[in-house]
Amino acid sequence: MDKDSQDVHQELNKLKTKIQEAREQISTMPGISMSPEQQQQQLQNVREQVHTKNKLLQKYRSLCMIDIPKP
Amino acid sequence: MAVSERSTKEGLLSVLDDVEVLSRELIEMLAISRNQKLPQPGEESQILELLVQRDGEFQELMKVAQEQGKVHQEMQLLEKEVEKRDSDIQQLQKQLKEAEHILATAVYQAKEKLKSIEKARKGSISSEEIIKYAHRISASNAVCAPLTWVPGDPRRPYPTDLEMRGGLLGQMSNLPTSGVNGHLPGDALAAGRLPDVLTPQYLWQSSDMSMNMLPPNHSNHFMLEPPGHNKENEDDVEAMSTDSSSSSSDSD
Repeated sequence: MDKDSQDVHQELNKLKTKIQEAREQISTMPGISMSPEQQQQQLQNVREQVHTKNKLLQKYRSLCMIDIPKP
Repeated sequence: MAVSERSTKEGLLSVLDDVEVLSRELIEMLAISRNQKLPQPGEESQILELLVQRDGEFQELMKVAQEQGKVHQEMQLLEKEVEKRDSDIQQLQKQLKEAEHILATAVYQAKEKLKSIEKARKGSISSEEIIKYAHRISASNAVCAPLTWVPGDPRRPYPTDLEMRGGLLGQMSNLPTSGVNGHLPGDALAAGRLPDVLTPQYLWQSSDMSMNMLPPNHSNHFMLEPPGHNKENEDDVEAMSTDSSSSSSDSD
C-alpha cells in the first residue's frame, strides 16, 4: 500500500511537471494574446494602413508640385 | 460575451488547469478505490467524462492557436511594410520641406529684385545726361592728370585760388588777388619760366578766352612775384608738385 501511494505520488508529480511545461509553452506561443476575432480586426486595420500609405506615396510621387500659371 | 472576448491563451490555460485538477482527482479516487469502496460509484465516470470533454476543448483551442500563429506572422510582415512606408513618407516630407525652403528663398529674392527694379525705374536718369556729366568731369582733368603733366606744372584738378578770384564771384566782390594762379609766390609759372603747353587750361576758361577772362590786375605773362623769394619758393613748389595728390594752393 505504501508503495502504491508512493507510485501514485510519483505519477502525480510527473503529471504536475508536464502540465507546468505545457503552461510555459502556451505562454510563449505567439499571436494568442487576443481572441481570434480581435486578431482578425487588427489584421484588417494593418492591411488598411498599408493600403492607405501606398496610395499616399503613389499620389505624392506622381503629383506635379509646380503649376505654371497661364498668361 | 465575456467568454468570447477571452483570449486564446487564457482559454488554454484555463482548460489546462481543469485537466490538471480532474486528472489529479481521478488518480486519487482510483488510488482510494483500490483499498476501500467509494461512497459514490458513478463519480469516477463523471470525472472521466469531464476529463475527456476538457481534452477535446484543449485540442480545439490548440488548432485555433495554430491558426492565430499564422495570422500573427502575416501581421508581422504587414507591420514591417507599414514601417517602410512610414520611412518613405518621412523622406518625402523632408524633401518637400527642403523644396519649400528653396522656393521661399527664391520668391523672397525675386521680390527684393522687383523692388530694386521699381526703385531704379522711379529714379531713372537718361544715359545721355550721365555721359554729359562724365565728359564735363573728365574734360577738366579732375580725375586724371593730363598726359603732358610734369612735376612743377601749376595745373591742378581743382580751381585754384586765383582762378576763383578771377571768376565772376571774385569780380563781384572785388577781392584782391594774392599770388598768381592761386599758387604760392615764387611758383614756377609765376616766374614765367614754363612753356605755353603748361599754361593752365580749365573748362571754364577756354584756350582762346583764357587771357581775356582774367581780371585786369592779372598780367598775361604771369610775371608777378614777390621779391627775394623766387628761387627758394620754386624749390618748395617743385618739392610739393612732385606729390600730385597734395594741394599747393593756399586759401588766403
